[in-house]
Amino acid sequence: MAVLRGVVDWLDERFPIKSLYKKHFTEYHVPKNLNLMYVFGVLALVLMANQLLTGIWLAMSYEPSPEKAFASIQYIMRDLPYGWLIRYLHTTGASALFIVLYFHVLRSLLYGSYQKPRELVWLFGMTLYFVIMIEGFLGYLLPWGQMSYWGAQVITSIFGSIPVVGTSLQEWVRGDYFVSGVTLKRFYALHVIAFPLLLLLLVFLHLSTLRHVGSNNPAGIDIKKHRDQNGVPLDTIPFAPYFVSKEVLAIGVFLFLFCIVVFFFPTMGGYFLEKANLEPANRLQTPEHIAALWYFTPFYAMLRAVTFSLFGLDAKFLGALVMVSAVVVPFALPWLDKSPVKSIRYKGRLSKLFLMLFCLSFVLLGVVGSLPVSALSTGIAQLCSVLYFAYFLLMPWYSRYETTLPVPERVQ
Amino acid sequence: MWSVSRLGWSSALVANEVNKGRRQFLIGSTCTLGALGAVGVATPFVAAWQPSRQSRAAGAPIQVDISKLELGQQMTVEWQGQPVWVVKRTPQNLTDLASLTAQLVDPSSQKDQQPSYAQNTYRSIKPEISVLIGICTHLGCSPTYRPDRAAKDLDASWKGGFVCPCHGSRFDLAGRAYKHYPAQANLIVPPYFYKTDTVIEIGVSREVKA
Amino acid sequence: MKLIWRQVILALCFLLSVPLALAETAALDKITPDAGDLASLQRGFALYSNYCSGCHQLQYVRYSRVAEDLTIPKSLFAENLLPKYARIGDQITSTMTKSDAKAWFGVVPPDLSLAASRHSPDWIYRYLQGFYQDKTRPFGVNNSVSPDSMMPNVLEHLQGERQLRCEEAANAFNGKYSISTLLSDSKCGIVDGIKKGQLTDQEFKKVAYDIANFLAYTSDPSRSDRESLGLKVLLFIGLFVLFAYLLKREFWRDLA
Repeated sequence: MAVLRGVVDWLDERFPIKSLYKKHFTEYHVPKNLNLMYVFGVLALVLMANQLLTGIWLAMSYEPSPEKAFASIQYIMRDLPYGWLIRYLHTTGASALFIVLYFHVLRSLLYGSYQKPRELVWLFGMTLYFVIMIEGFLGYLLPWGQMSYWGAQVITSIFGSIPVVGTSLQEWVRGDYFVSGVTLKRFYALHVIAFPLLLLLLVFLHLSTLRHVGSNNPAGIDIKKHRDQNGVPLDTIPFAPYFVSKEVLAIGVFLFLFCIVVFFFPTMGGYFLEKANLEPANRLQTPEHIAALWYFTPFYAMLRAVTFSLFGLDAKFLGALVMVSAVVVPFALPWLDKSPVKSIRYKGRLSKLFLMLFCLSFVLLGVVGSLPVSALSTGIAQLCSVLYFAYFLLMPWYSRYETTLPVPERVQ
Repeated sequence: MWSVSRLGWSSALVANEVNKGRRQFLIGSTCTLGALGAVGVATPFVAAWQPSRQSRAAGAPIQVDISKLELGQQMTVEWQGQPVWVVKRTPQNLTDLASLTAQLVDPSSQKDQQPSYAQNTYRSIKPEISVLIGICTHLGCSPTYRPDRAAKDLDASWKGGFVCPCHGSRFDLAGRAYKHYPAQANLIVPPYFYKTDTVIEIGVSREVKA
Repeated sequence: MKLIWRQVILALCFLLSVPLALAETAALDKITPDAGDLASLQRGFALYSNYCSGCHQLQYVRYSRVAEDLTIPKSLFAENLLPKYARIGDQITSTMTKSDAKAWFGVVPPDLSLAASRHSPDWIYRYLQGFYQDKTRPFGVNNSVSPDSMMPNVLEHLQGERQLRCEEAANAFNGKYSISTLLSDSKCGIVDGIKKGQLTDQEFKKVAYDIANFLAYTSDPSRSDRESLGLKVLLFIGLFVLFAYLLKREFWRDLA
């Protein structure tokens, strides 16, 4: 113990770890009313660490070439000691990260965490989500199974739908006339080096902007208004050990659920690891039913929802435009919300209705996107796409004109 | 670890009586479990660096047919990615080996560089057949086979053996290191046994197999 | 005390067996692969070696792994089950070249390492029993599970010839119905043919089960390791959660 203290003191003289610890843990104050919805951030962080660690280990045995990629995955699963565990941690981790992120974003929408002064936190967060989606897509090509191959084929074809530059852009993205070994190698380099670096930077920015402005809370009350004689906001608790102990508990519970999937249901009935991907990529034969991986299905459904041409633009391009907008429009949320209150608790009926419809449409889009196309599924996808965008684009109107409830001064 | 005074301060905290013993115990036990968990998490990652089934299959024992090996001839085979020499020594070589004792670092193979059944003057199961891993015990180069007695570029008393091209270490035909050269240990004899009179299995001893 | 427990357990067993028995009659074609049934896996591997390995491969599976997991002693394995051209650490490949396969069957027989995951163990179980005589096909047989399959019925001498018999209303194969819909509508059924096989129906079902079970193992060889390790991991995390909960409650007393 004395030795440890000596080491800490030695370090502290050279680098201010004690004051940093104080600033970010014991004397960093968070609202005392943070509820369960506030643990998903740290869970995302845990999963990012999991992806990074298992990813490094997978990269040690994976071979990014069309001839060897599929076999090298089987090598990892069968020949490498604990390779199956490392890979299942990575594949389950990817799906779990999206589940966690969807709850994390829902929390923001519920309590208005994107509102002033947290616009930058929101922007960095949305960028993170966007980059993680691309990272997931890039990684999905690597096993070089049928779904990997045709998924990449379909998504890179979207570039081809852009008027004028489409075809050459599509070839540029693929580095070939089709998804080939060239594409695989560049996806690999981006997946294991470029995007992880970008993600680390974005996580740092997301967290440091959050630490600067402080956490919002379920009541959406500005806790910094009321301070005690020492300048510490009332209604807050020190981050460590109080909130940290809650997060540790949350991580434990989460890992329990996570490990149930990893050890007992790693394919999750074909949703986390698709059956058709157990066949090596075959350029000459498309699988019967191409479904996007579950976490892309809402956006994939929107892509397919556009079945008509408009303003001289063909349906394919419009679909791509809708899909990209579905990710881009939410960036503007802090400026779309004109409500005087943050939390859904004090917002009016319209906000509640639109948020509910938004959640419902997102889930329905996800379901529809995983089913084969039919007239019914297209109809549902079209209706849900409209509701999805209505939540954002009508917000300036309904958030301003609805009657809100008075926000209490202090946390109850 | 956390005394109340170091917990930070906030007006939301109430001055409840703290059961210090219980708190210390819970902090200690949770941290211990966390540390154990971290070790558990590290296990598969550490284990994944061991040779895989593929490597182990490639490094499995090999069979060498020595029926065509002539007197004085050396053959090199690969086992676990290393050169393994099989040399058929002449009667002259065998008499030479017994006479070299004074010039060698470890003439009676005291150091554990061979299976017990090869701890003899010839460092082999059958006197005339020598099986050695062809990696210099100095810094890992592969020595050259120099059976020529009294070779001009070596010296007049050279009785045949191996010379390392990297740092000049010298070994006799039983792989024993000469004094006054860099290598201070004999060449390694791998485990092996005679499957038949003319087939050697290298990489496993008979005792283990039985 | 002991007596009561025994009664409770017996009652539970009885209650559990009712739905199980019902499920069994309801889904005749469903099987539950059992990675712990080593005898079945060993029979499955022997059947695979005799009937499948000539054309199909298990290119991601090593003989040594099969020997290890199926607890067949290596020396015994090397003498009896290992082909002459292979070493025990090798992957299980077939000697047939791709071009020969194309010439003989029109297709390269698929690798079976992942077959049970790609389809399902049930699928393999049904497929092996799904052959029936069809003069229009190159090998004289067709398959009800995978219509127009290019595989000859290598187990015919065990199962015997089988025939497709349809109700008169459905006798026309006018392209509207696929064989599988006809079968599921139970307008058609596969019945015993003229030539009897060496095995009874029940015995042949067991053969099909053993092969399906073995292929379920090869497509997911880490399953038993995974599940036994998983149990330990969950127990440990459960303990950790308990302590983490107590610690959290301890700290949050300050806020009460």
